[in-house]
Amino acid sequence: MKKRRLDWLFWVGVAYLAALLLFSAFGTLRHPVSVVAKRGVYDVGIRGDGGSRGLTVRVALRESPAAAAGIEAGDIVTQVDGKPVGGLGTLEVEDMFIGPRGTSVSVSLLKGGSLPETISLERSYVPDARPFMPPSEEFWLGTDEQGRDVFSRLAYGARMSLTIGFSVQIIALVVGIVMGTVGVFGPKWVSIPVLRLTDGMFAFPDILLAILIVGIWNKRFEAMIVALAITAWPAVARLVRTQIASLKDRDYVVASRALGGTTTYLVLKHILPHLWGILLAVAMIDVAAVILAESALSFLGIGIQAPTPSWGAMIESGRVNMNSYPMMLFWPCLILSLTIFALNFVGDGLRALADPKSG
Amino acid sequence: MSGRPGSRIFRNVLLRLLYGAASVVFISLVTFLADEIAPGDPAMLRMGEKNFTVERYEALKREMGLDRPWPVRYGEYMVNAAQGDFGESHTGTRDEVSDILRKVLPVSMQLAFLAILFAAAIGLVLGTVGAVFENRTADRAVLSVSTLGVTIPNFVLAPVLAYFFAIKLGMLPLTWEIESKMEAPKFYYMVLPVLVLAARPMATLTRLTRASMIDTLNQEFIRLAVAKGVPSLRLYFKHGLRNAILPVLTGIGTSFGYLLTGSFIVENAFIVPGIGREAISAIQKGDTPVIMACVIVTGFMFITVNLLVDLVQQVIDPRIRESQV
Repeated sequence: MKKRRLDWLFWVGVAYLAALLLFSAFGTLRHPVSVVAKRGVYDVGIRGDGGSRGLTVRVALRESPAAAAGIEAGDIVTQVDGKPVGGLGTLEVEDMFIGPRGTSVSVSLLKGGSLPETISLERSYVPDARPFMPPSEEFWLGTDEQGRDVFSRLAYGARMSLTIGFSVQIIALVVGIVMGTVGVFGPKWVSIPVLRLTDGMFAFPDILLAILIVGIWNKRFEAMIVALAITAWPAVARLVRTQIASLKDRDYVVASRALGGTTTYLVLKHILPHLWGILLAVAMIDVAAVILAESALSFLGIGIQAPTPSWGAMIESGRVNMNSYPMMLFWPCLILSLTIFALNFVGDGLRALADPKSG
Repeated sequence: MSGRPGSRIFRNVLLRLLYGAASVVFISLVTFLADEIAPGDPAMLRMGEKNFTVERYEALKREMGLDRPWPVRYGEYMVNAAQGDFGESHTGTRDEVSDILRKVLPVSMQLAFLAILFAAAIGLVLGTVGAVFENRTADRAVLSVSTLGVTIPNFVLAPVLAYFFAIKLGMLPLTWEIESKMEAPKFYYMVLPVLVLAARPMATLTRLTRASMIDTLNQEFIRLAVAKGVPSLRLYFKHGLRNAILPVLTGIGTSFGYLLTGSFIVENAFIVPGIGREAISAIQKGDTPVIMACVIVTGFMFITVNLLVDLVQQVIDPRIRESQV
């Protein structure tokens, strides 16, 4: 028998996914998400970190109203428009700064130990208004066709993809495990319809069903989650069913039944514990499939709706502009492909561990 | 098996046909119900909010047949659909959906057919090469190419290939044109869409062929053939591939489903006037009858191709032929 060992590709995949997780969590910090997501909003140019006392200023962007008013790194914003901001998150505070052009926001500041002062800042700074800016210190990967920071949009897209990928797969796992188990052990009047339903779902090629649901339900976000979960569960159910079918006549299962174990007990105690490994492995690869499906829908313009960033939509807008700005196409394609590879590497590694024969 | 010769194959064929019919009913039923439970009321939509009176609403509902229970309407929809009548489009000039389908289907079919042909040809050759040189450099190259093909999504591949071949090298047209405006022969316009469409089926068919060939080449009769001195090309293609091809056939069937939904991506990336592009623009416009027709027709084609593959397998698998005698 082959020795059970995880190969280096598995660890490369794990390292990449960890890095992606960090990127998705912190990549939007340099530029507020609201600016990333909304068009035509104006800012005062303060970037900082939320904390218990208030927002600690990390930088007042050059040529912004904040810099003009003499705000410096290390200052603490305690109130915005009279509301205390101590204990609020960075994004929440930054959301309070932005608004329509020309309006102003009053900011209470603690400057290096001195008494708090309140200053009024006009919202006139457009942090990323110029489209298609090349990479710079300010915008690490440049800006897109609407002048939005590509780096934060990629990070936000990562957040969307990972959240959707894993939450949809968890729903699919739960539904699939229940359906797969019921399909084998349930009473006939339940198991036969369940089996037929599972098989019937395979009559829909690939993501056609998801396209149908999203299309008819008017491109709603919840509709997409439901649609992706509905597309994903039959594969889990089929896997669970075949695995259980091969396990249920093993000696120890039969013995346990002879000792009076109920079906529920058998499934929970003797059968499902054997499946976790293979299910985890397949789930990883299926998360990749869900992310792909989501990106495909967004690419087609029927998934995540603008202005919320998503990789698929970024690829589509990169495609439109690739003649003059090929890098706009390059980054989302790269990060999506790498993510798919990483998830597959991790899944393959886990599968080799869980089921040495398949490797 | 008991019964007359051929009764078994007949029974199998009948079962497959029934199964296929059930799948078509399932797909159309799900599609119909998805529309049924979706928000939005077609009668309301047609009347418009400002003309609303309860009596006129009820009358319009009766006129549109919406006052009857859904199973009746589903039955009617299917009877009409079977005769090629999918109702009329909700938007624009209210074209017959069947007219729209007649316009877009041939384009998509052409692409899908070329893609599967291309994928199967390349897949069989590469897979055989991989199996013959198992674990050597050529095999590794084949494996890496097929891994790339399976993993890289088509909506990444489409713009990337378009960028290199259409923009950088200027060899191929970037997007599809209306036929009268095409400058180069139509073939040039089809190259990129077919390539992108074929990439993943090609990769899966390569893997299938390779695995199946390795299995076959390890069997006794191949060793016998080698011992007899059968020339190697003849050995691999006549003795090997002929026996290894069955699982590949199944693969072609399932790949076809991928081709159909892949065409949604490819047709939108290259602006090809096919069923995928029609479906997406119908979704953008909220044109439910067209969406439903596209889904049902796509599903129907998928089921039909898989049915055909199944039937061909029944006929050519010698194990089944022998078991009848």
